[in-house]
Amino acid sequence: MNIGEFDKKYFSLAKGSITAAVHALKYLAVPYILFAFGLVALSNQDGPQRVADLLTEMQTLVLIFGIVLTVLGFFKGAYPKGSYSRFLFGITASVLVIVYVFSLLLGGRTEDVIAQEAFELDLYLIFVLFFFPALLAVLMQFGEFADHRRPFLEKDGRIAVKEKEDPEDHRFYHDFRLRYGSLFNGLKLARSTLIGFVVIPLIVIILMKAGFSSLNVEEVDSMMSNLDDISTYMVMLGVPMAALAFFKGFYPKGSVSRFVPAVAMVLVTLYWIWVLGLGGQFVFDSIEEISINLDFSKLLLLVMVGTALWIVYYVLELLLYRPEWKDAGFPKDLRTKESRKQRKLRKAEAMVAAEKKKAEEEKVASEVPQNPAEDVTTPVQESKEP
Amino acid sequence: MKLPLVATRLIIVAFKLMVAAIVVLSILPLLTGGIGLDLDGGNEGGMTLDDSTIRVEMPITVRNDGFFDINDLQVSFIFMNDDGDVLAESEGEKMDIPAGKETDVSIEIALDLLDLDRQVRSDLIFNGTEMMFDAKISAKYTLDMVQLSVEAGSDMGWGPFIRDLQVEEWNAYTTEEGDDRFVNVPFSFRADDFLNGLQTITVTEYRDENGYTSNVTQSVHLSPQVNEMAKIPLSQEAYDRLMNSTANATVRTTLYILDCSTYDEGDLNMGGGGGGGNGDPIYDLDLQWESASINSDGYDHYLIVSYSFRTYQIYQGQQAQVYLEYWDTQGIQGSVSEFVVMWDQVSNTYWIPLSQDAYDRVSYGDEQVGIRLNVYYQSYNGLDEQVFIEQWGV
Repeated sequence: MNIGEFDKKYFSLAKGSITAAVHALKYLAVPYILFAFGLVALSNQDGPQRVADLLTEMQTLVLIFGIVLTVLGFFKGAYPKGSYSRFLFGITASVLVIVYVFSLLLGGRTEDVIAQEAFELDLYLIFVLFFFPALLAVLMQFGEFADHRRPFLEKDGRIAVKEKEDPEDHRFYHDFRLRYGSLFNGLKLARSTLIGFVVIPLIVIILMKAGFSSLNVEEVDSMMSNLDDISTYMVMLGVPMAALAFFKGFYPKGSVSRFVPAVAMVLVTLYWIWVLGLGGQFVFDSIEEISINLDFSKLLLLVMVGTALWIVYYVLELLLYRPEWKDAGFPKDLRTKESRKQRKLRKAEAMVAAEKKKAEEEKVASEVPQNPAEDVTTPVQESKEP
Repeated sequence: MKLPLVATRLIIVAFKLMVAAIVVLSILPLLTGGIGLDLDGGNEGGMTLDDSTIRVEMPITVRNDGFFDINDLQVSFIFMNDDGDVLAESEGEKMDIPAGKETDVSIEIALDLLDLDRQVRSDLIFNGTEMMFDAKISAKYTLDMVQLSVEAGSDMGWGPFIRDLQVEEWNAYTTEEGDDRFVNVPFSFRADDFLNGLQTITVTEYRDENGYTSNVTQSVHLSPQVNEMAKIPLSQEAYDRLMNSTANATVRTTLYILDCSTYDEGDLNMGGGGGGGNGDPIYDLDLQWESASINSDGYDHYLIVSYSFRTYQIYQGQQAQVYLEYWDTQGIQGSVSEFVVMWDQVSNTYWIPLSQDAYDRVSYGDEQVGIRLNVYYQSYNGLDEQVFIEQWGV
């Protein structure tokens, strides 16, 4: 490890403060206030003491972990992307978040108190669901480091700036080269997809099942069975969607390699909606002698049409971004914030290059013979030559 | 981001918002009670018979304060036997309930009796039966994009629509019209209100042990209480056998309705005494001497006595003369006579005025007293007489 990357010359107080503020809000202020509200509500309603004790204990944990994560966030933000220093603080913070959440379970006491006061809820199962996106958050730190290491070193002047790729040599299937991909972007999108399509629906289902079980009514048995089936589908469809989301985020806008998984993801999402929407048929026949059948398939199809419009979006994205990506020499999409000045400069360079190319073409055209027939045939014959 | 992409995103968001708005506007009235049924409408539902179809109508008010019309609201019923076999189906008309309005609709159960097999139909009409049925209510909502159907199964008790068919053979009597002889046999039954006015056929058949048969066919209009008289012509020989109690005759009344029938029969015995078969209008004549008493205020004196009797149905509503007289060892001391209307159960109490002497005799003496009750109706004379000694003596 190069200890020099911890040097204060890389240190940005402003950037560190912003990240620290975000961490403080996320891991300290919001949870602390929520628990404080819980305690106030509890005291107003003369709630059970064991819940109050639990919330107080959690508040203490929030304070400890929140402050540590805020400090780690400060240092992470202060150092530039691609540096060992940022990577170290980033990965420490992301691992600590997992420990933070696990510690809130209080060795099973949280689950026990919820069971005593409301219903039996498998918090460890919910933690396992949380663990996978949290693990991806850890991997995102690796991804960010890998993506930004070269630009960091180039900027630092420690390695030579990489030359742009010649667009003429590029074929569409070359879009799938790994070197165009951003691990960070891929992991980030995969994580958000996993949360949106698997973790949150499964947590809702776990909560619903816990609630229904506490009713201890036979009539909900079939509904519980339906929820189990839906859970299975959520995992079976959600995991491939997260994988597709990885590739969609991994490859830059304007690439075929992004377009293909994006469209595939939309198609899987359509199926996901159809499954989650029970195929537009809700049948409730748990109550003896009464059966309720709700056919909302047309409404569901309308929702699916709305989702299918994303295909149009991705087609447009491919068509609109591809020339730009090609002109830029097929770079990685690192989503660095480009200043207005840099953007103008880049566009001006692109225009100059285009004009230069056009002038060269005109020059070549003026040198060819006047006979149009020869003009057509000769280059073809020449091109066949080895 | 490029403008076409922004535009596409906006279109997608707008589309999704539109769908979300549709969903919310559909669900909201259901949660806030904006859509509901009012079964307490002013119009009472009723059962009617239309040819062979029984229609039960239930007026309801459907309130649709939602944002979308309720279309194709339909109520249908499937009737089944205990084994689940479909006996009949009834499908209501489709109705539309516009948004923001209350609409009166009539839910109709229509059961065509001819759809049922004869045994089931007969049970339904004459004995009553339980039928399983599935009710299905279906409707479209949210611009016809949502279709709701609710099915509920239950048992339903039907009928009997015609009951208590009774041949009143004890009230039968004979008549002579010139050379023609008849036996008049009353019969009665009850019919459900909704069958009022429906015309049915009854056949009353007379049969004696000599193999003689005769019958009369009548057209009967149904009403809640039907009382009819079957006037069956008899030959002179059959008439004679009936009158001298050698006929051993039976009479059977069969009622036909909707290709089903039921009957009741009884034995006729016109020659002997007792019972209604001999033409007595009343029975259980009872002079209640045990509960009799005397009453005096020092000036007027009375004997208070009650009696009761029952009247055969055919004679009910007609007048009979009741004559009560009180006597002692000195002769008749008081009497009361009046006309009473013969109902099923007749019970009266009379105050018979007594002279001072008669009162004193019965109060202080050791007198034998008696009371005689006569009921006269045409040629009939019912009598009950009781005699006691010192009934009220000191």
